[in-house]
Amino acid sequence: MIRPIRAELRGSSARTIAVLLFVVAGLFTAGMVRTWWHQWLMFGYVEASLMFLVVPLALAGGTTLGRREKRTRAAELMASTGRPLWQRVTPVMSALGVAVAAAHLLLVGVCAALIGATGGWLGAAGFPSVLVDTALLVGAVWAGFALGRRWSSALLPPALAAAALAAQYAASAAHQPTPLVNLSLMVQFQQFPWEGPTAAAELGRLALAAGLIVGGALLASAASWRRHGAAAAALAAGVAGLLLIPPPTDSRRYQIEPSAQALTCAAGIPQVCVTAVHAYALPGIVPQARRALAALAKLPNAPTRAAEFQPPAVGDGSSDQFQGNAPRTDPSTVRFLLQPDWRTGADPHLADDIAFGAGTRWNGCAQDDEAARAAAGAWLLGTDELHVFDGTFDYWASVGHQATAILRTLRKQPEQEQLRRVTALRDAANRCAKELTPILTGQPREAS
Amino acid sequence: MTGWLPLYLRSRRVPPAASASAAAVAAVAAGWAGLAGRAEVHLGLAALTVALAAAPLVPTLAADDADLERTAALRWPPRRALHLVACAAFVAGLLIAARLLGADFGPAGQIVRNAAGMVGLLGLGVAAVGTGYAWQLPFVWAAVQCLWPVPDGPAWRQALLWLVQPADSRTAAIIAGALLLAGTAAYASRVGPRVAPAEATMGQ
Repeated sequence: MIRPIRAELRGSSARTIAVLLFVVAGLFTAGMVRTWWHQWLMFGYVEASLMFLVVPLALAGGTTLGRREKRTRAAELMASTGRPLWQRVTPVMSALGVAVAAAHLLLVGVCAALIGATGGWLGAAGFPSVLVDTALLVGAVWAGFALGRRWSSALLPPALAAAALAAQYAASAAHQPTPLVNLSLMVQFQQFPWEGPTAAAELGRLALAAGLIVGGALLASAASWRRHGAAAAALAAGVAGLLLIPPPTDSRRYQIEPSAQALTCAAGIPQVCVTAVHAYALPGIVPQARRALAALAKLPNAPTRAAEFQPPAVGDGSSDQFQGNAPRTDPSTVRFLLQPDWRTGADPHLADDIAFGAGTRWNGCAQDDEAARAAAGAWLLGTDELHVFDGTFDYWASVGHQATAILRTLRKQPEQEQLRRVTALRDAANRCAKELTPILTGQPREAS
Repeated sequence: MTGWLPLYLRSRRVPPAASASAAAVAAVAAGWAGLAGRAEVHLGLAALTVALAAAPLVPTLAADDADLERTAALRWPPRRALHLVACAAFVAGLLIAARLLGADFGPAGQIVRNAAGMVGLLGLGVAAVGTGYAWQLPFVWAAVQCLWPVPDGPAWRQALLWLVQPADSRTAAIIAGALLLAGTAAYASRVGPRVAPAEATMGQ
């Protein structure tokens, strides 16, 4: 069997289809390099979303090869050999499957090597989804091949590709939550780089892959209507699995991968720790974190350790998901959220982030009265401004003028009084108090 | 001309292709009207639908046997150019007519621009690689734009995402116009690489 497969790999357009898929997938992946550079689980998101575009192309590619077999009468020629149909189509389908799977795994391998070589975290968590998507691609080319053999119209490849894409896109635009959104292979962006897909999310895609593989194989290798019916049933079951197995709510598509979220600490003291997915950035952020710890050390009972914030649940995209009314404080540790630059790994505003609110930004409380928190942070760092980002939004842009006024009032006080007021702000913030400006200024907060 | 045109349309299998194109637009329009509950189709889906409507027309851009067709005493370049422009008009007409089904694919000017650019791109593809593979570049480009339907921004981004730009985007209009001109010129002068005679006789 190996020789016929090798002959098909050399003679058919299987290699061309695989190269085309590799090029398109490579361009897509390169275009999203900012998302996955250093981040294996984020690469999993890019790789899974890639299926949105590549599966329709694989369907069309398989159709092109299938209709070519029929159009050139190769199928008739092969029919004269007297072998059963499944034996006649096995070499070309195997060649197609091997070529497409190899192209996809090569792309994943290159990206995994890049992530590993640049110090990024690589764990077993992301690999099952890669294998499922590889099976999905093989299923798509096989189903396309079978359809092309049945209906050899020149309209079929482009129409099939465009229809598959449009159907996915239309489904993704449906009102959530409905199982219809699962028809789109474009997956929702995860909020944190330590989140990986749940088993249910992967099982849905695996069901589709199995449906396409079984349906394609049956349709290509059988002439009876009974087998054709079985092929249609397999395809329908695959689509039903995709629709019904994964949860329709985006936040339930992901789960926290404990090994990716585990803390890794830099050598030396004071201790600075980040999650495993950000371990590559440690050398760049340690000086900033220690600068912030040194600033916080001006206060009594100051934390002696800085550690990256580890959310207890999967992110839902809401900025106040982990900032409510229940303080989660550990006096010895100040928490921070790392937002490293995708290329350098540095977070130029990390010290500001840690000093904001005198180290209380990630204490589980809602961040009310940002002006007072920014003023306290600037006082600790000895600066006139403090830039803290919430995504791309800089707090200072909206509260800067108020914070400057608070800071000016605070600095007019005797040094001991300044220290007492900032300490009082920290303690109040750790009790989830909302009004912090009066603590620093001794006057009620002005309406903003 | 009246006798030639029906023969030409039949030889290029235009009726089934046009029907497939119309059916595709109708399916998207009806699906959108039923699912979304509003007339304005999302920018990304509108871009994809242009590709979806144009894709079935690609096989009509070449005859079964180009060598045989070349022997006819007819001036093919103007006919090919007219064929391509007619495809653009047909796609634009379908998308505008989809309003009757309750789906609004955008202002008429935007639809005409997108149809013209997409068909021009297909013409370029046919001239470069033949009808078998011509749909791939426009399809991928449209898919990328549907993934990032970002209107406005710097000129380079408007040029890259020209299908999803607003109707008054000059950059998108220039790109679409250039694609139509280049595609028409290329397709008028050449219908893809030469096909081996043995394969050509096997028909589509």
